[in-house]
Amino acid sequence: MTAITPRKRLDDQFDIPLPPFLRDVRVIAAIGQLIFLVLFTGLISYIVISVYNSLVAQNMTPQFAFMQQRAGFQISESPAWYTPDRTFQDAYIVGIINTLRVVIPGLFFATLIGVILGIALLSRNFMVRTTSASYVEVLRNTPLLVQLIFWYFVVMFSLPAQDITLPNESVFVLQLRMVAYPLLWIGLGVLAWQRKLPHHTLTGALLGFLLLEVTLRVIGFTPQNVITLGVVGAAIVALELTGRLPRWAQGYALGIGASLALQGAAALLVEGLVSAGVLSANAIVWDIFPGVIIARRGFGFPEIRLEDGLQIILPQKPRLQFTAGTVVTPEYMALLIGLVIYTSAFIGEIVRAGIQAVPYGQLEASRALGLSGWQMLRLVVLPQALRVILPPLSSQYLNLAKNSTLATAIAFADAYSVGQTIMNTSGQSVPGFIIILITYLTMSLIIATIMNIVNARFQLVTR
Amino acid sequence: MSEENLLLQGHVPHVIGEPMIVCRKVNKWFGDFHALKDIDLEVREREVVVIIGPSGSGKSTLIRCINRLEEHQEGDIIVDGVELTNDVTNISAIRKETGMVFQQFNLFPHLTVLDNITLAQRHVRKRGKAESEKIAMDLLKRVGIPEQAKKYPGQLSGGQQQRVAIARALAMNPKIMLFDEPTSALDPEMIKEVLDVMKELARSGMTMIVVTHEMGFAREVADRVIFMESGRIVETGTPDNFFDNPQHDRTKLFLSQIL
Repeated sequence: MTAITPRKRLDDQFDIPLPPFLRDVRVIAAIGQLIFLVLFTGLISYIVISVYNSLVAQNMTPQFAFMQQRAGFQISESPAWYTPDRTFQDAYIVGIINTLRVVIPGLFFATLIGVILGIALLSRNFMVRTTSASYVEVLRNTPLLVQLIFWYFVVMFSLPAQDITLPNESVFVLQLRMVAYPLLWIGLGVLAWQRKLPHHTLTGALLGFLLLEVTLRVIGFTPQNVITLGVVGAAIVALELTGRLPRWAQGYALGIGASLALQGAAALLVEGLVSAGVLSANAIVWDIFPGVIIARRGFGFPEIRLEDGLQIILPQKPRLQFTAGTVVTPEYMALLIGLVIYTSAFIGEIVRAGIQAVPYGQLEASRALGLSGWQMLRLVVLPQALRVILPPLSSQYLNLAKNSTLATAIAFADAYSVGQTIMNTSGQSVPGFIIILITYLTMSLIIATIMNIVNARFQLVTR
Repeated sequence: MSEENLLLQGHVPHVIGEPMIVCRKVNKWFGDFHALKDIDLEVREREVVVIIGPSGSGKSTLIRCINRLEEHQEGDIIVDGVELTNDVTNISAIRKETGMVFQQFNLFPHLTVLDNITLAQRHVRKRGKAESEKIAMDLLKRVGIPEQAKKYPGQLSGGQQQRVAIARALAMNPKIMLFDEPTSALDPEMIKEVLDVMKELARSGMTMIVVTHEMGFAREVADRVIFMESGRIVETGTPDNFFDNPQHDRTKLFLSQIL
């Protein structure tokens, strides 16, 4: 023990004795930090200097001037202005544009699907809840790379690649088939509500929809197949109506049967119209991938060629004639769908947790005030859930942005993929990596900053 | 008992009108637990009914069944001539006519006091912004805290929050007010300010059912006191009869323990 140092009056309020210099906790902390700083900067400088020296020794001095040299390579997906005669810098800008083309719509759709999913995960409807829970579990628990490759090689490559003639009437045929389902659901819903049908009927109708669409995809979309399944459906309906089904199957069977029978009837109607000469035979296009919007181009019987996988042809109508819209490559679609679907599963879980974090009393107060379910969700639950949702949501946004580099696996020319090509072509790997790192760091920091601002606006005022 | 006697005790009976809430043979189960057993209850217009009883006796469950926060499984509940069934039209009609005040206030923490009071007016009653804000400010004056309108619930004391909750319920112009232990979560010095608002409300002729442990309030304001135990109504009577001359042993025991 050392002698007690004499007290020094520090200021008017405090009168604390000063310890010996090297035993002062503040001094010890400062020295510790200083030592760490020296070691850390020393280590980093050592690595940087040795990398630089070895590159100079190999006659590959790192510099950024090479970005102004001629690129000399094609980019599979680029704006019209880009040619191999452009510079590396231009090539890289094309890469950044492609990355943003994926990331910006990706964030939007992942959020949209994620929020719907989060609400569905808490649904009181067994079918909705179970389906969305399986969606989340399958997508969360398989690697993103595998999913991307699945979307690209399995889904995109199985799309119709042949020429399809789409005359005017085909739009009508497609709609007839797809409109039949919601009409059936509304009809059954009204009957179930009036207690004229068991409420399982509606669930059955949804099952019937899935069953029919999957079966047709397996056995082929021919009018004959649809009509055959329609006959089976009619038989199921007849069995239920004559009371020959066990109790557990009632309602479900009616819904499934009605779905099949209705589609069969629609097919029969179209076939009838064709044989009566009202529709031309080639008007019937059964297998159109959902999501493809098709419009006629020009007058008469124009043709739209569906090339390598998928084209989205947005209907535009300058005066009297339709023209075709944007063409989207399968690589782009696979990456966008893959990232959106994968990220939406995580966002769904975050939204679910956020909604569950809202105290039950808030729901009771809303109900007691007479708010409807939708008003309660929109005005009371989601605004409060949002402050719990936002911080983990930011991480998912950053994940989506960074995961877009997996584009390289399916040959989509994003910033990283183009950057890699630039490094291989120019041999400038260290500057190349620095540019790529700065690109993604900037993008992430922008997303994080925006999310922090949004987050700050949604915090509760408590004092 | 003569009118003179009542006046001497400070009790002014309310002018009681037609039946507002009718419960007939209401039964409710939570799983196997029989929470309400054959409840028969009639509450008339402008009547103030106080329900007391030990915890778990079904007091809260009963009033929560009246605005369908809980579902009863047997019997009839008729509120202002509308029967409570699974029909959403009936449920929302009844919720529009019944205001509810909770033990935990349940104000919306993301909205200001003013917005808390205007939210349901605007989206359920479809009133305009100016009209609903005027009603909200008048009600805040009535409960004594107009200066808090722009604050958030988290910035108010418990007593102030509960008064906002009462104003929020009143803004919907309910014919019936249900109070579920409105003072149980409050510090002692804040209980009085909330009870004062409730007394004023009772004087103004509101039909009220109040679940509470405030015996002073029951004695002073109630037209009728109901004692519940394990899901049954054990005893019912005027405050004087109930507190001074209880009939059932269980009521006597309960009163001896709390008074």
